[in-house]
Amino acid sequence: MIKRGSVELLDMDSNSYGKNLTLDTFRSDSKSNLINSKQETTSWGKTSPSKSYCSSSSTSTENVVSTLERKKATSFESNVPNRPDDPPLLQGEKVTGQARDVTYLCPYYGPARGVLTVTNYRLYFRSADKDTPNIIDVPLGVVSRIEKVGGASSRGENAYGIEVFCKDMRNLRFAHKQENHSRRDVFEKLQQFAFPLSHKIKLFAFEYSETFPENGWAIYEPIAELKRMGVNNDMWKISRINEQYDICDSYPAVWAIPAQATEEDIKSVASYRSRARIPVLSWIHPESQATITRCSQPLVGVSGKRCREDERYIQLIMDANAQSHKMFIMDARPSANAIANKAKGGGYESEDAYQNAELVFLDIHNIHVMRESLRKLKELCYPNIEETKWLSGVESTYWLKHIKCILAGAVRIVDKVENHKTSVLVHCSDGWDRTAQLTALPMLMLDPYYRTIKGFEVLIEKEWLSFGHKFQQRIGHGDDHHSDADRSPVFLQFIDCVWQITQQFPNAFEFNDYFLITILDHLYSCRFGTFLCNSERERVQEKLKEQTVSLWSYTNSHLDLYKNPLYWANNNQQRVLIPIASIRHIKLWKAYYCRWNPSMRTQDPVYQRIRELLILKEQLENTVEQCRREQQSRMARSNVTPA
Amino acid sequence: MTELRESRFKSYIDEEEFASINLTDEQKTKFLDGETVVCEAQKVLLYAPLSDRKKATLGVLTVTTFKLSFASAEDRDGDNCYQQNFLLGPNDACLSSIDTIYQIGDKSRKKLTPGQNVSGKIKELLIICKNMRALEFSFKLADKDSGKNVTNALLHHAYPKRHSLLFAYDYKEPSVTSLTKEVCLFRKRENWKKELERTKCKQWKATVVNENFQISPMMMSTLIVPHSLTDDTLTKAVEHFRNRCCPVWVWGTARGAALVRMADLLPTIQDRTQENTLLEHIRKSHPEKKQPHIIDLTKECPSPKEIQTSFLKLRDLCVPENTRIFKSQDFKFYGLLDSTKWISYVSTCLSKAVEAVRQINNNTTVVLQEGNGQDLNCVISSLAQLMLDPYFRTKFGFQSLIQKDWVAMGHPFGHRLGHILSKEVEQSPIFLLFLDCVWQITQQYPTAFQFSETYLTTVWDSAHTSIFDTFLFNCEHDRIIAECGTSGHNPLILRSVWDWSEQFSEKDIALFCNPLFDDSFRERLEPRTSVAHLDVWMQCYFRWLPDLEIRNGGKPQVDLCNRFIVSEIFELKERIDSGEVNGKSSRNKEDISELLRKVNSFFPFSRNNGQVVGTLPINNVLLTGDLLDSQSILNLNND
Repeated sequence: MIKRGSVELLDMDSNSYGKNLTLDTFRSDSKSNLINSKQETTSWGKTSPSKSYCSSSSTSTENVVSTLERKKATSFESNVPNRPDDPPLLQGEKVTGQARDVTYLCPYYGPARGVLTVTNYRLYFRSADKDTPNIIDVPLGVVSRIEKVGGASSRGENAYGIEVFCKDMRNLRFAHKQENHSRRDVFEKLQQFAFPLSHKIKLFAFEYSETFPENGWAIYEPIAELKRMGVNNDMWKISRINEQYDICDSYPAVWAIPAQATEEDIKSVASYRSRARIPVLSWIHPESQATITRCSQPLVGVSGKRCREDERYIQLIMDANAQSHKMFIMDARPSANAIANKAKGGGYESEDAYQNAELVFLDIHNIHVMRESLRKLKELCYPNIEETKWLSGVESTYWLKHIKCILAGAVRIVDKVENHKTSVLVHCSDGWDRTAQLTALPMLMLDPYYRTIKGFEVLIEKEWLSFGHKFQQRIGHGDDHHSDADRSPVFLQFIDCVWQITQQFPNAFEFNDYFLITILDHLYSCRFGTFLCNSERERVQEKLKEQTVSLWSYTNSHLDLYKNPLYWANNNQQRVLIPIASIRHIKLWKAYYCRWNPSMRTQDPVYQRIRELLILKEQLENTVEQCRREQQSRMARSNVTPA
Repeated sequence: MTELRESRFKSYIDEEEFASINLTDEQKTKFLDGETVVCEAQKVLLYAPLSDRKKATLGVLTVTTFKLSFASAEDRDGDNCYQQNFLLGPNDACLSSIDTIYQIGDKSRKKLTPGQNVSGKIKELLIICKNMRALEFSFKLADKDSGKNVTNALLHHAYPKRHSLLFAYDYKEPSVTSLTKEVCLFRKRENWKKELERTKCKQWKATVVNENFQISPMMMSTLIVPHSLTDDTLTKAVEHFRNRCCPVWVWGTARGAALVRMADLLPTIQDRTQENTLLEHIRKSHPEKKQPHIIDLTKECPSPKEIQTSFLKLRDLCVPENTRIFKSQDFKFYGLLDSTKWISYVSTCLSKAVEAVRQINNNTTVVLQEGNGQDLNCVISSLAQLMLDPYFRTKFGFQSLIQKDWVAMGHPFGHRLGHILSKEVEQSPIFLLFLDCVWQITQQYPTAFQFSETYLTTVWDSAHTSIFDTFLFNCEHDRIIAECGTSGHNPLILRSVWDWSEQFSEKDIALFCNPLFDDSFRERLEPRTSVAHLDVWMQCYFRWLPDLEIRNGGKPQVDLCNRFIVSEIFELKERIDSGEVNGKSSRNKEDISELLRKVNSFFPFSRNNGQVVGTLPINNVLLTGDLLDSQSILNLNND
């Protein structure tokens, strides 16, 4: 199944192969049937797989299809369970409601009549057309808001129904017949399972029981990662002072700090930094020992409070890098915001107090500005784009401008660390949104390890998950407060920035953009435990590692799907990437933001052709090898029996 | 703050005295046979683009009858993998490619009028070329009057008033053409007949009624017209069309649909009978006697004037005056791009071509009609053929297409590219608009074309090199007159631009091929045409701005890998065919890695590879917010 999934995914129409390339050759390329759960391989999912309605092998195809929302559903035929209208089910997934005679008001292909099914994981609609059914398959985690449209007095066709607003840039409208009262049940079930936390129901991730050969929970070992960077060393040490999360509840249990820092130092610094998020190590330069460290804002307040221990601690970070007698504090905020924060007890480091430190403001706006920008972008991209105003429309969302600011900030950090061998301390207000962007992106540019698939997973686990980016709050998993001011697309922006860098350096990354889209899809889906909760502490409390499956178990079990065919050429390429932070280069990621619009659906024909060529090359190499062996054996034979 | 550190550019700002410049033979300006020096200036500074006059190279500036040339002792071109032109050095510009010359003062810049004589001192000069390159020189270290002399030389020689003053007439080098027969120039009657046969389009014929350009000097001597049309009728009808451009066939299908182009009727003509008669003949030439579909390009496409206005706005975005403007443009780039209308014009042209393609695919003859018949007609007609006929997507096919629909059909290149200074002439980069459209299609169908983006950019550059006759004339008639020579000038030696070995080495010509080309792909193309599907042609428009070049990144990385893979495949195939399966591949992965490390995103055009030692160049300009922005804080209190 997985093989077919991959072909589907790459949009590789078998007709499009060159003369010498057949579908079979592509299939044989896949090494093994990776996610057949019946395999006797070590399983790392939950220990007791529950029974489900369908064979587990269907899930891979399901995901591919739901991700790309392919209109053609032919790939379902073999895994459709009992009735053709039923969705393919994941392990642990149950149908909870179904309505017939529902019309999906497709903005592209017009109204389609069919069956709407709600499970504890997804909303599934299949139109009655036999040949090319219109299929909508949305994990309920993606839903941000559900509204009834029209009341008892509604007149006119399709005026009565449900509208579903999604976090992944689309809205769906379904029309129900008033007379068969199907709306009430579906609406209720949708409400329940889209917002389980508001209805005292567990998130689907806790029901989902599929097993995978790879264990994604093991991908990130904080100590192993610090060791990879050479810590402990003379200057930096691993500290377990936060093992019980009692110094800082939003930080991980293990972190690295200057070797000289004492327990008392840490406690004093924690009391001076917002939410006790003290400066800790993110990355260390393998040659110069210049570091990237992260923290939250200092609690300066209107009175301009100082903290000797904090000042000394920052000096320790600077001293840990013998190459420079200076360091930079990069405050991600616009300076006006930083100043305004003083009124609320926060603020920024004064250069008087922090000798040898230079403070730089990076002018990146806050979560509310970003949320509004994405809202405008959705308006522009969904359902239809207004062609005549497209370019100025893109500009008026400011989305690309924000992306540019983040990238520019990241490049400035890289410049200091790489070119000036100077350490950089990054913070914003709390140090879990913009700070995460501004540590993770420079690390990606500086360290080729993070550009591999597994390295990128480690990067997300480390800089985003373990350091407490509040995924639960920012995404609002299972929660019906759609207008919650804590929601914001900070992580999406990070992935967008990564995509921009992959566009500028097309062969520097092991993964392709489908990997990034998969991550974003499961950021919302609640199928995996990876992006649940706000901090490591909460994840431990919720026993996520025991009770849910990691997204990385899933991705690492079929890596072939996510590999960039050009990555091979980059073997010993330069270590540091410096993207150009110019809007002239920054593009709207249409394959993500506009993917629901069939006219905008872009496939990448270049990559497709390269794959074909690489397969052809492999075939030819095999032929050469075969001929060579034949020749050899012929020679051997003629040597044994001389004429 | 970091400095933009490039070894190519040194700071001369504080230095006062210089010894004379010693150039090696390699570095000295080279001259062509027939080229004469007009003026030379020592110790001239060439500023680095967007360096705010802080980085410069010192050298010798020469104005000749062919080019503006800057030779510097710092040019080390030995081990260069970048494109090198035999006719022009890395810092040279053909006089024909010069668009505008500005005198730079302390506070402002002043556009100089062609043909004028400046008498005052010239300290700095900015030259903007038609291919968006900007060259900025300072004469502050040069001898007195050098600036003035160079300026006057340029103002007189870069804007010839007569065609025969172009360098092509003086170029003495005998033409040893290596041009293969595969490029069809469409100068001869056989070419047209062959094209008619190739397309298998029946019921059309070649007529010699215009053999000596007697009925229309603007059209070619061989005209393909409906079978039923008599020469008499045509001769009478031609009077009614602007520019005497009556409907003629350019392409057709075996099923019978044809692609026909013509001009509008003269504004003085009220009676459309003549036009209708010809259209009726066209209808009868269709096997099913189907009514042709007329596309009125005058109404539906931008005019040459609008295209020129749009181009100038686009150029403002590509040739920013200083870093401040460059930066402020960057923050509102998409809005500014929108207001140039360039992308929307590209979109319009593509969608008109798609309309024509759909009609023809539906077996309906399409008649394109436009003003003088030789501007947008060329664009739409050649785009439609590119989409319909895979032959035109090959290297030779594309050249033949340009010969047929642009050169032979009389696109007024002389006027539109501004080769000659004249008041009546309307300059307009219609040909660039076409190349941009082609580029957009290649982006959507990367395997359908045999040629590369580098090829298209090079074609645009070469259109301004006044040696090749291809893009020099307004029509075939003018070319024939020039070829014969008159009392006023010597006969012109024709040199085709398609003879690429005149300009480039094999290594550079190899980059004109698209490694992803799949010759089995013969389907009709139907590109998406909406603005949301189109991109900015970065290579062609931004290559002169080093600040925008991605070090070790961008498309060339993909392109070179593809070339490597394809070459490996070829070698494997050869080994299998020859049976020599022992031994190792001659291709070394190290070589390609090495090359990739040297190559940046505007390869093979920019020369930013000037061995950067130590630090990676980081451009500060783009990294800081603009002042206005940080002050207009939104949601301040929520932070």
